[in-house]
Amino acid sequence: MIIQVKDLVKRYGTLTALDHLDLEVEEGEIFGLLGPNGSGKTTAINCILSLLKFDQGTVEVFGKPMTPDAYDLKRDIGVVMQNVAVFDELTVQDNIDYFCGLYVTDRAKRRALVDEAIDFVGLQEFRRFYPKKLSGGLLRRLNIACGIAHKPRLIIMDEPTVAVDPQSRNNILEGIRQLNRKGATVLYTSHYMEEVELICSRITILDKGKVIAAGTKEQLKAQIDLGETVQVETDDLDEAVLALLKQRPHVASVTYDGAWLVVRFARGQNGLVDLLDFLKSQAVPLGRIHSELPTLNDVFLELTGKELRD
Amino acid sequence: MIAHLLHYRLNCFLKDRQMIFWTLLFPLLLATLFNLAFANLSEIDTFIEIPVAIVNHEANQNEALQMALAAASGQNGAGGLFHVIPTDEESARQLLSENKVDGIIFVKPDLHLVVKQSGLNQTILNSFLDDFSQTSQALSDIITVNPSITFETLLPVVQDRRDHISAVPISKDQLNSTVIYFYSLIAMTALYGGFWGLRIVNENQANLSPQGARVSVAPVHKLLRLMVDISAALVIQYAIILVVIAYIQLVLGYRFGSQLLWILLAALVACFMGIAYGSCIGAIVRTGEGIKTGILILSTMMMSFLSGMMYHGIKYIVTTAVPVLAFLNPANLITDAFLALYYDGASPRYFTNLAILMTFGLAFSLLAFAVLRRQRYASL
Repeated sequence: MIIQVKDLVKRYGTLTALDHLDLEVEEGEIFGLLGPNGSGKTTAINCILSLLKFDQGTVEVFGKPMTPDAYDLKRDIGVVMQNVAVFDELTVQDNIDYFCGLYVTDRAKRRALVDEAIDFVGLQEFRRFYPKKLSGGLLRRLNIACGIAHKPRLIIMDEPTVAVDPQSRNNILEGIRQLNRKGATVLYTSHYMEEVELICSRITILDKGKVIAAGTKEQLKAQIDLGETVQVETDDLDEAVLALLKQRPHVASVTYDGAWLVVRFARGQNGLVDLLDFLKSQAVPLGRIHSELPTLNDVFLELTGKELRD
Repeated sequence: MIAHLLHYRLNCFLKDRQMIFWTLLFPLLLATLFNLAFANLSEIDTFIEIPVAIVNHEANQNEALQMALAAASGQNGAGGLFHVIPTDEESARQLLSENKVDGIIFVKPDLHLVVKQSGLNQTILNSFLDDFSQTSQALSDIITVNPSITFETLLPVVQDRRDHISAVPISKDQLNSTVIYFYSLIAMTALYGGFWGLRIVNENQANLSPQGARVSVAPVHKLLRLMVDISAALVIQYAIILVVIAYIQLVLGYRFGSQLLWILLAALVACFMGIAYGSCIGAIVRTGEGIKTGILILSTMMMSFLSGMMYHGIKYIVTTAVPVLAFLNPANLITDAFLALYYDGASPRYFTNLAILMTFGLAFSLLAFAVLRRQRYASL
């Protein structure tokens, strides 16, 4: 186990930021911590990194208790903070070298690592640039390079794509997958469900400091009643067909407004092909067809009654 | 590791334009303004030889007067009381009318002085001639009463004047009085080292900056980081002080006398004290960076004011009325150390000031570290 958090409680006065949080991150995975703003993701990260005092619980990293002076553990951890943490007076290369030098003392080895990190985040042309001359996306890439240049076993990324353009975001997400393929375990926090869904093998959803769901994305989606939603454009549908449709297996609900037929399937079931076969057998004329699979936002919505973005 | 940290912290600090402005350019600017403001003060204090004309053919007939005037005049470039211009009567009157001389000495029919207006120089000339006349008359009377005494035997007696009050120089060095203002300027510059202290704390505390959070999760002990940062700041602030002193000495032309090494030692201790003071404010004041900077500037200016930077009399008032405050004011201790050097050299007073400054610096450092050593925060 790379990270093991048990019964973690963190309170700010009367506000409980983390409410008996349990987490287990296994070696080699990209673990997602998903939740809306203020759900306790960053607080959890800061407790894991031993930056924050907590009221109850234990945190172990690499099987050992994590403490502020656990330098042997810290040496194998890379952190990409939510806020860009670089020095304005140092160039891109110098910033990476400075932070890498906190972990790696051998100068020749460090030089190679810095070059590799610069290549990895695609900042070759900006080596001599100062941070103020970089765009938001490039700055985020620099922030990531500073956190991962020393090739840590565990990388903790706290919302690294906030305020990043779509192209840079894709680059960053692809980079995280590359790091993972090279052997790094990643703990990734975000309030963007698409990102977490895209790169994470296991996900824990937090709300108000509590774990409301955990598992793979398939497991999470299976926890809710909602499945695939199919919309079919048709202007000729009688009540008898609708009644037959409602009786079909896995159909959770059917609505028809005279133009669009909306069919929701239950428990993560996909029924597009089955539905189309049925409508064809009933000689129903078909227009445009849309199919939407359930998302983690649907999971969050069903479990909490609110959107992830709220 | 230490060399790596030191290299990059020096790099960061040297490229911090805002800090370099306040710690280096601002004091240089103030020094230049001080120079402009105080330039005439020393000139006012400088005595300028009094130009006086003496009608040539008459002076030649009074050997004693010639000797007295020669003794009171500058020789070989050295400054004297009078600048004597032997000339004829017509030229002398022309010079007087053009204010090129302050008076004309006539020997005949009797020794007298002609001036155009009354003033200090004219009074000095008149006093000199009165003294000469009285002495000449006394010698003449002595020789008349006792003809066996010759003028040559009396002259050494007259010339052998003894002072019964001796003048003791205030300092071993010929210091310009305006240098005192520059001492206070150096003290202020040293205390501005507090800006570095603020920055150091800010960039090492996880709850104050993202950089602080990042270095806090790295496997480097906080004490080591702080020591390296303070060392880097001390190197830069001390270099700044040296530049300011060199500018004042070499560019503005104010000599600090022969106590330069001791002044450099005082400046080093003052720099440490300033950085420690800023670190302490950064660590113990629980508020935003802007307010901490404001507190640092306000307190530094207040301390500088109480040490006499804006009005020199306040230093005396504080020292006599509230002596404890004088001892608790680091700016006052710094200027007082410089003044002690000026008056007494490397005296017990100088070392006392330095010892108190060092104690303050260590106390501020320990207080700051006591707060900063906390490694986990209640909130970030």
